[in-house]
Amino acid sequence: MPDREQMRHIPVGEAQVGDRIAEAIYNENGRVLLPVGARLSEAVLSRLNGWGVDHVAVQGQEDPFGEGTNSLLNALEHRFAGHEEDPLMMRIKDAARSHLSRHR
Amino acid sequence: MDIDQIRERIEATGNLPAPPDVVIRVTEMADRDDTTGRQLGMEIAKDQVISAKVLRLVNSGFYDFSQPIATVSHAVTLLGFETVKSLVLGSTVLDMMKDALPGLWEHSMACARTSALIAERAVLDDAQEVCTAGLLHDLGKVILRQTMEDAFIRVVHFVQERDVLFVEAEEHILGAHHGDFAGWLLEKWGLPDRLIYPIMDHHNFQENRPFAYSTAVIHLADILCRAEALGRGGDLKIPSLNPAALEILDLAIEDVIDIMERMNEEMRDIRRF
Repeated sequence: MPDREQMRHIPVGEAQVGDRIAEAIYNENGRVLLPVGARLSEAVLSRLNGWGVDHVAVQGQEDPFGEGTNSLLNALEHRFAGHEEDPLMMRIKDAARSHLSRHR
Repeated sequence: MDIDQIRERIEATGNLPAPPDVVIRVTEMADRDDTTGRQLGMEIAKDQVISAKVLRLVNSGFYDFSQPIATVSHAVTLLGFETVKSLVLGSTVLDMMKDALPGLWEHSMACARTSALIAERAVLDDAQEVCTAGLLHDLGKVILRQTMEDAFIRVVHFVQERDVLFVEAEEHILGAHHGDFAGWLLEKWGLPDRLIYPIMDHHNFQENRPFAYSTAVIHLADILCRAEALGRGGDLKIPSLNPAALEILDLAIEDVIDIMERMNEEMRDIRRF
């Protein structure tokens, strides 16, 4: 059984044939286009852009923001983007960054 | 669908996993004056799965006991009726959290433990109830998935597409959010207001609302867990901290940094996202 919680969000261009979908892909009406666990085939990959999908979540050890400590730090930057003017949030971010950079 | 219809649908829910029978039965018993801790413990113990899960929660590190608690009756004696009642509910939904959104279970456990650290630092006396509220603060996301999967899917889609907070997507699409959903259901199930309000208000702290101290704890705990990447709440963003929440708890930002240090030391068992 693959671990559904291990996943990475990647641009469609980086998805490979054989990657397994970790989060279902829906169309605008909420209809499931690809269920969790579906394997990407050549045919499906070529159709994703046409469906208006630009990112997919695929199963795997890699993280959406890169690998290891860097992925945690990239995710941190992403998470706090937009809070730059908020001194409290920036103090919290700095403390978290020092913890996350020591992680692993 | 307007908000009354959403509320109706959530209140009428029969889709939640373990039938809430055990919650109702335990609630009735806990509300009677002549129920003893031992009787309540024995009632819960009739359901082996539930009692095993309750004990796992009790022993999972957010209640500060010097030794493991072996029986539900003992847990009732130590934690009180209300907390155990909430844990019975928690135990029925925790597994669903694992399925509802990746990282939500880890986020919930981390939030319970962080709530304990904050309550200790702010010297609040009902720390145990606060931990339980921390554990269940995102229950509404599970409820949404279980009762209105079509709406849940639209919310997830919106979060992915616009890169916004889950709560923002819910409000945009439904005009209500997971705090409301949990509040409606918990009220219907007869859980106490001091558990309901902090869960309902954790994205909208206001110091003049009931149980504002506990709400401030959950509001802060949620943000700190996201900052420390402990689990995930269904999105890749973080809400703003309301400074009034720190004021009411009489915490300075330095206290918050200390709490984060302790989180970092004590939660190595929780996966970072």
